[in-house]
Amino acid sequence: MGLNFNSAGIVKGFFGGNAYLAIVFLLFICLFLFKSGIGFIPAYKNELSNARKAGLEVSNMIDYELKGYYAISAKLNQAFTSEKRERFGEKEILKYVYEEFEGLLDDELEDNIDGYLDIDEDTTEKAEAKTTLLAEIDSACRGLGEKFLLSKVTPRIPSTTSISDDTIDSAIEYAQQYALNDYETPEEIDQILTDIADQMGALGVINKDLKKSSAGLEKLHKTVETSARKTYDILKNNYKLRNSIQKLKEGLVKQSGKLDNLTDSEKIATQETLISEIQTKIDEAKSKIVEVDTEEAIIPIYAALEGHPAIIEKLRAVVPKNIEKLKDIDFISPEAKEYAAAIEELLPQYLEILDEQETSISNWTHETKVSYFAAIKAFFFGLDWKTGSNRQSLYGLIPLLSGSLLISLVAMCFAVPLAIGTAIYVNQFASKREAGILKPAIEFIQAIPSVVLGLFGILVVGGLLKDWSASPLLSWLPGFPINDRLNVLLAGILLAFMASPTIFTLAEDALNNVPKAFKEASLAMGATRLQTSLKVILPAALSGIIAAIMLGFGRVIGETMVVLLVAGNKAKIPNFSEGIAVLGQPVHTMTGIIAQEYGEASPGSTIYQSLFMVGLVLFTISLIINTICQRILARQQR
Amino acid sequence: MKLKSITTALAVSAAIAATALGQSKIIFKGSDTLGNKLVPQLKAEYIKTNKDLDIEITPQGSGHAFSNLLSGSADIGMSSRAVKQDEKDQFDAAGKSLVEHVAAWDMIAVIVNEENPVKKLTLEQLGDIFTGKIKNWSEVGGADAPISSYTRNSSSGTYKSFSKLGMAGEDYGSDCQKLEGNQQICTEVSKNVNGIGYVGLAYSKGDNFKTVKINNNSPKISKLATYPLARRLYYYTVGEPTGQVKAFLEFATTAEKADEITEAVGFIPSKAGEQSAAK
Amino acid sequence: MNASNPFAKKKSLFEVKERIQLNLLRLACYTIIGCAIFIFSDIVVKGAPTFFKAEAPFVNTEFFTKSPEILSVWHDQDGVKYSMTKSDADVWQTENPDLQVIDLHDYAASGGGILGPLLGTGLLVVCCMILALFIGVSAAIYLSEYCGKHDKLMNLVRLSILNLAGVPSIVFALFGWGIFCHMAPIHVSVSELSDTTLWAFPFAGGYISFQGWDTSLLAGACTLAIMVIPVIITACEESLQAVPKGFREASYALGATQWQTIRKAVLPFAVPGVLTATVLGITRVAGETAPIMLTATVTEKGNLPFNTIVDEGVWGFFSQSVQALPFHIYTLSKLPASENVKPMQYGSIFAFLLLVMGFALISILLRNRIRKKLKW
Repeated sequence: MGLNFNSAGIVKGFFGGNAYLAIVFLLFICLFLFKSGIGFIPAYKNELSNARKAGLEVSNMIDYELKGYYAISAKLNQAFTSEKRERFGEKEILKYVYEEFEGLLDDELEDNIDGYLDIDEDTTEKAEAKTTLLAEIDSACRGLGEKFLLSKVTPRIPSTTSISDDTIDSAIEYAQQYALNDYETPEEIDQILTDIADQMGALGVINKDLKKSSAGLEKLHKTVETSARKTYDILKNNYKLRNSIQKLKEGLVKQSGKLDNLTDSEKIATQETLISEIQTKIDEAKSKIVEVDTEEAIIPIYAALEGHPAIIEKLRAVVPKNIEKLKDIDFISPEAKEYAAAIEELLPQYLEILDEQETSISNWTHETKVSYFAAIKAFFFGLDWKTGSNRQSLYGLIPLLSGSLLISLVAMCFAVPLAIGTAIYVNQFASKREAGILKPAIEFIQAIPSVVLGLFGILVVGGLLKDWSASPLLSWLPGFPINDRLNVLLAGILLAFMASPTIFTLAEDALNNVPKAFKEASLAMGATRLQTSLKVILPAALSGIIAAIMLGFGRVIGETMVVLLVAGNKAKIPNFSEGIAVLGQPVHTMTGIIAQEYGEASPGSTIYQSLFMVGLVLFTISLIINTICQRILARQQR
Repeated sequence: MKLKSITTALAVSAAIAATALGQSKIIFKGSDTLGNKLVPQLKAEYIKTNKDLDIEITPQGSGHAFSNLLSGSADIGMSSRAVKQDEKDQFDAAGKSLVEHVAAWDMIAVIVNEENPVKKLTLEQLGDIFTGKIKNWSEVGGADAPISSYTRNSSSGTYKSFSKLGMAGEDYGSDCQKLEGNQQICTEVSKNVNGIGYVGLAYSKGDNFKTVKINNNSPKISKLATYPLARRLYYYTVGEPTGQVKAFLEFATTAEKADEITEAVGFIPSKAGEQSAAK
Repeated sequence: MNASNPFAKKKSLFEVKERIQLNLLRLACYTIIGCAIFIFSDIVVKGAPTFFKAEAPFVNTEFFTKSPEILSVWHDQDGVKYSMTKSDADVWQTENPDLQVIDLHDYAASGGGILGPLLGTGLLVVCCMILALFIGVSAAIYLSEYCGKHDKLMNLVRLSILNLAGVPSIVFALFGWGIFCHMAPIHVSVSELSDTTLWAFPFAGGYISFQGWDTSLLAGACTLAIMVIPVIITACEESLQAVPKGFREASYALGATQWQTIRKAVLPFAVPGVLTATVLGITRVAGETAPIMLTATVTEKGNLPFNTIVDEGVWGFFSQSVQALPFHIYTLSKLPASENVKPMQYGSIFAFLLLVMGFALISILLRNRIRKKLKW
C-alpha cells in the first residue's frame, strides 16, 4: 500500500472503502444483533432462577397437570351438554327464547322500561303504565316470529323443528318480570339448566364427581401459586430496583466528578442540589428493596407439596373409575358418544402426564442453580412464548419457529411445482414469442409489495378460502370447513405466490445453463422433447434448481407483512396430530413477533433482547441458506 | 462505554426544557384504543383554532407510550391502562416524573358474531374462555362449535387491563390469536361465527357482531358502576405539561366540546365517568 | 372421436400421457399468470372508481391533494347517504342545520386522500437512493475496475454482498431501529440531551450524543439504503463489466490514467445500467413496509413534510417522522371490512401498485433495451 497520497490513490481508496462497506455492514449487523441479543441469556437465566427460587417453577408443573385434567373435563362437559340437549332440549328452549326476548328488551324497549321504572310507586299512573308496558313487551316479543327464534335455537339443539306457544307465552311472562324488576333476570331462568342437570342420572353424577375430583389439586395449585407469586414478584422488583440503583450510582459518580471543575458558586450550588436529588433517588430505591428470605418463603410450598402424591393418587383412582362408568351409559346423542370415546382416548395420555409430572415434582428442589445452558435451552427449545405476562414471561422459540417453518413449507408445496413447471415450460416448450411475454410478466409479479398482498389476502382471499372450505365437496377432509379466516393455508398460498417468481427466475437460469449438447444428444437418440426435458435437462440442472428452491424458501421465511396480517398470530405449536387440519390453524411466526412486539420493548429490557435473539435466529437461517446456495451454484459453474 | 446514561441531572433539566419550548408539534404515541378514534377527532377540533400546530399520532399499543415517553420521542403518551410499577421505576431511574391525566372512561365490550346465539356470559366463563379452559361454545350455552378467541397483542393496554379485569390476573391461554388493534378484532369476529373478542366501547358498534352481557350487565354508560370491565383511559406526560401540550390537554380533558366529542366517539367523558363510577 | 378423419392415427397411451404431462406444465405456468391477473383486475376494478370521476377533470383530484383524514358516514331523515371527511362534515352540518344526522359512523384514516403518504414514500425513496447510489456505484466501480477477479478479499466482499441481499427485511428493520433510532450520533444542546444516550461528549456549544434519531426520515432512509445496496452493487457491476475491454485499452493507450479512463471511457457507457439499477432499487425499496414501520413512519400527521423545513430547518426536516404509503396501507388493513372503507383501501393499494409496478415496468423495459442495444 504505502502512503501514496496522489489523487489516483485517493480515488481508489475512496471506491475501495465503499466496497468494503458491504463487509462492514454485514459484520456490523452481525455484531449488533449479537450484542443486543446476548444480554438476553443472563437476563432470562435470572428470571428462570427467580422462578425456581420462588417456587413458581413447581407451580407451573402442577398447572400442567391441571391442564391435562381440564382437557378431559371439557370433553366430558361437551358430552354432557350434547346429551342433555338431546334428552331435555324442549325444556332448554324456554331459556334460549327468553334470552332473545331479554336482548330485545335491552335493545329496543329500554326507554319504555326506564320510563315505567321512573314513575313513583303506588300511583294510578304507574298501574296504567304497567299495562301498556306489558302489552308493548308482549307484542314486541311476538313480533320476532317463530322462524327467527328457531334460527337461534337450532344451532344449539339441532333436532328442534318448532317452538310451542306455551314456551313463548311463558318466556314472555319471564321477560315481563325482567322488565318490572329493574332488569333482574328471573331466578327460574337460571334454574332451568341446574334442574335439567339434576335429572341427568348417571351421567350427571359422573360429571359432578369428576368436577369435584380436581378440587384438591386446584387448592394445592392455588396455595403454591400465591406463595410463589409473592416471592417472585418481590425478586423481580428487586432485580429492577438494583438495576436502576446501579444506573443512578453511575450518574452520581459522574456528577460528583464535575463538581471539582466548577468555580462559580452558583453553579456549584445547583450541582450540589442535583447530586443530593440523585442521592435521595438512590435512597428511595434502596428503601423499596424488600429483602426476602427465599429459604423461608419456600417452606410453605414444600409443606403443601407433601400432600401432592396423595392428591395424585386419588385422581389416578377417581378419573379412570368415572371414565369407566361412561361406558355403561346409553348415549342418545351421537355427538355425546363421540366425545365419550375421545375421553377414553385421552385417559392414557393424561395418566402419563400425571406420572411424568409427579416424578418431576417430587424431584424438584428450589436449590439447583439455573445454568446459562439451561437458559439457552429454555429459549431454543421452550414451548411457550408468553410476553407481557402478569406472572412469569416465557420466551420459547419453538411455537414461532414451528409456525414459520410450517407456513414456509406449505408455501413451498404450492410454489415449487408451479414455479419449476413454469420454468420447464417457458424454457423448453414455449415459443419464442410466448416466452417473451411470459418471462417479463412473471418477473413483474415479483415487484408486488408484500403489504399489498397482505391486504388483498385479508380483503379477498381470506373470505374466498373460507367459503370454499365450507363447500360440501370438501367436507370429507378433516378440519374442513376451516374455522378461522386467518390461518396457515392462507398465509402459505399468498407466500407461494410471492416466492414463485423468485424460484422461477433462478430455475430458468439453471435450465438455460445446461449445455445445448445434452439436448441435442437426447433428441438424436429419439427421445421426445418432454422426455428430454424431464429426464435429461432437469437432472442436469438439478443443483441449480435446488438452489433456486432454497432461495425461495429463504425469501418466504423472512417475509413479514403477509404473515403479520394473515397468519392469525396464535403463539402455539400447531397441532400436527390433526393431520391436514393443521392447515386451518392460525400460527405465529418469528418475523411477525418482531413486528408485533417491538412497541413493548424499551432498549435493554428482556423482551427487547429476546426480539434481537429472534432476529439473530432469522439472520443465521438466511446466512446458512445463502452460503449453501452459493456453494451449490459455484460448483455448478465449475 | 461506561458513560451510559449521562446523568440524572441532565435528564431532569432536559425533561423540563423540552416541554417548555414553544414547540409547534405535539407527538402522540401509544394506545390504539385512544389513538384511532378519540385523539384524531379531538385533534381535528383543536387545530381549527390552532392552525399552526402539527399533531402527529401513531397508535400501536399502550406499551409504545411509555417506551417513547422515556426516550423522549413522544410528548403525550396515550394509554388504556395505568402505568405499571416497573415502567414507573424506569422513569424514576431516569429522574423523570410521569404525570397522569384521565382521558376518558371506557368499558371493554366483549363481542361475538351476530349469528352466535350466546347473549350473556358470566365473568368467570369469560375468564375461562380466554385462559383456554373453556374451548367449546356448548359449555357456555351456545352451539357445539370450537371457540376462536381474539385478543389484542401484548403491547396493548387493553390486553393487560382485560387480563386484570376479566381474567382475575391470569395469563392468556396459548389458543388466543393476537391481532393488531380493536378494528381488526371487530373484522375477524364479524367474519367468524365462532369468534369472540374484546374491544373498547367506541368500537363496539358495527355490522355483523354484537356485544355480550357480562354478569347480566351490558356495556352501557348507565351500567358503569356495575359493569365489571370498566376502566379509565389515560394521557401521560413527562413532568407537568407546559405550553402547547398543556393547552391541548386542558382542552381534551375539560372543554365542553371535547366532552361532546368523547361521547360521540363512544367513550364516557372523564367527569361523568368518575361521577357514575362513584355511585 | 375422430369422425372427420377416420384414417387418423390412433393416439397411443404414451402419447396421451405425454400430452397430459405437457399440459400440466402449461397449466402451472398459466396458474401463476392467472393468479396475477386475478389480483390485478380485482384491484384495478375496485380501485379505479376512487381514482376517476364521472365528470371533468375525470381524475379524483381530492385523492391526490389531501392527506388521510377521518371519514364520516351518515344519512339524513330522508335516507340520503352522505360520506365525507370529518372537517367537511362539520361545515356541511352548519350549512344544513335542518337536516338530521342519523347513524353517524367515523372511520380513521379512510377519508381525504393519500398526499401525505405519497410524499413521505417519495422522500424516503429519494433519500435512500441518494445514499445507496453513492455507496453502491463507487463500490461497484472498485469491484469491477480496480480489483481482479480472484482477489481473495474481494471474493469476501462479493460473498458479503450476496449474503446481505438474502437477509430478511425485518432483520434490517430491527438493526436500523436499534442503531439509527436509538444509537446514532446527534448534535444536541444540553437541554435536549437524552438520558438514554449511549455516550456523549461536549462539542461546539452542545453535545455530540449517541442517543439516536428516533423515528425519522433519516433513520428510515439509512435503513432502506443498507437494504438496497447489494441490489445496486450487483446491477452496477454487471453493467460496468458489460463495457467492452477495448474501450479501456484504447483509453490507456492514449495515456489516460485509470481514473480518467473510468470517468471518460467506462462510466458514460454504464450510465443506462446504473439507471436500471436505480429503478430496480426503487422497486425494491418503495414496497418495503417492515423497515420503515420500525424506523420512520407515523400514522397521522397534520403538516406535509415540506412545511417543516421552513420552521425547523434542514435538520428538522430530516429528523421528522413521515407518513408512508405502505404503512398507510398497513393501517388500512386493520380497519373493519366496511363498504365505506373499501374505496380508500382499494384506492391506496391501486395507487401503490401503480407506483411500484410503474418502476418495475421501467426497469424491465430499460434492461431489455440495454441488452438489445449494447452489443459491441
